[in-house]
Amino acid sequence: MDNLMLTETIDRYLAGQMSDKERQAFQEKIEEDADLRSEVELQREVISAIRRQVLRNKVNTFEQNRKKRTVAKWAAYVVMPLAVAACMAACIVLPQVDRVKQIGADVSLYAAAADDVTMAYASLKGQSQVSDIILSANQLMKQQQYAKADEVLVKGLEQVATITKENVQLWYAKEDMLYMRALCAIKQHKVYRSRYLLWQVIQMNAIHKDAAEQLLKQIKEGK
Amino acid sequence: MTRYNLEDNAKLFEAFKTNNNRLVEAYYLGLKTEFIKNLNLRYNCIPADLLKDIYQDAFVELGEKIISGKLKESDLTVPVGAYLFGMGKKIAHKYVKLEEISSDDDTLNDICVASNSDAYFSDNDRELIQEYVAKVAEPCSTVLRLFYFEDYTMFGIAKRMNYKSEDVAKTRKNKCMTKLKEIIKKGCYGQFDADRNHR
Repeated sequence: MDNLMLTETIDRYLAGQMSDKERQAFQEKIEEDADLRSEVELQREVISAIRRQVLRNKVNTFEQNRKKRTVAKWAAYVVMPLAVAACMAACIVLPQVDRVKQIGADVSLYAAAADDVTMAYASLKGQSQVSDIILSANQLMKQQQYAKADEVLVKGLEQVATITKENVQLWYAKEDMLYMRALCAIKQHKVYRSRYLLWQVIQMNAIHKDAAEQLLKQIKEGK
Repeated sequence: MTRYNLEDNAKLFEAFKTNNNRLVEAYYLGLKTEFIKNLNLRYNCIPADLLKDIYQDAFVELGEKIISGKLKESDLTVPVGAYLFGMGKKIAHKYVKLEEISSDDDTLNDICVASNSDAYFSDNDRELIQEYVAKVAEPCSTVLRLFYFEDYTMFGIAKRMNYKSEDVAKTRKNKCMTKLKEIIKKGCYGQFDADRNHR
């Protein structure tokens, strides 16, 4: 039986379109032949995946429709009064803009410095364990040993589990480690884990936020 | 979950089976808020945006089960909202378990959702297959959708796709499916084997 015929036969089997006799004979073949069973199960799963894909597209359309309706509703009842209020508030807000720009510049400077892992962590005085962990995980990732790198990073994250934003250096180190774990997960095709870790990175709202958002978008789009 | 009762089960099954988008959309949006609120109460370690993703995954999984006949209306002894929430907990549990965040959710094993433990493919395999399916290009994408999702006959597909005959449509459908399986096997085969050896 050629491949096209086999696909057609499996389709008929899965859709329950075979006669009792034919189905029984085919089932016996499946039980005897592991390769045939594997082919049937793969086709069953692919059909399910096709259905899930169509449903996912539908669900995305539902979300878009909801957003459009919400925007229309807001435009009618909220945006106009708010626009008036915003004009009045502008004279209070404008003086604060310069300060926001200054904070943005500080963050950019830090982000630029942190790009170079070695340089950034060399400055972590008294926190050499964390910097060693990051550098060692970095080395393992370069050698494509993603599972090992992940194990190292998990240990590192245990050490900084209770760190808050106030401890800036370790906060960024924590974010780095989470981001590196996400990259390891992606390399290992661990979709659920990578999505979870990327969301954690985004929640931390630090250096890798944009990159994490970009990666998450790509994962969701199945790239 | 309180807004929906057992009578809604029949309506939702019918909506999925007849591809009634408006009704499916109404249920999708209607069940969403309470699902996310309850899941957040149980797993407050999961970020809000991820809860939305979990809801979508659960809803898609529910739709697929109904369309493929894996889940029958008679199997459902609880309102659809409760069933969906059970599926959501299972998906959420994957995140929680993966990250080894402690959970005292003892009820997780008691929920009405059928266990996936006897499935041929692992969750990871299924995600990989899903990725390949998402990348299928035209015209295969449409042909496969019409045949496997919208239950078009070969005559209907030939007419919709401007093919000369039903035979052309059938050959095209079989070629698309065969090619897709080959690509998946080439891309994932080693990984499937490795996973299976662990089970």
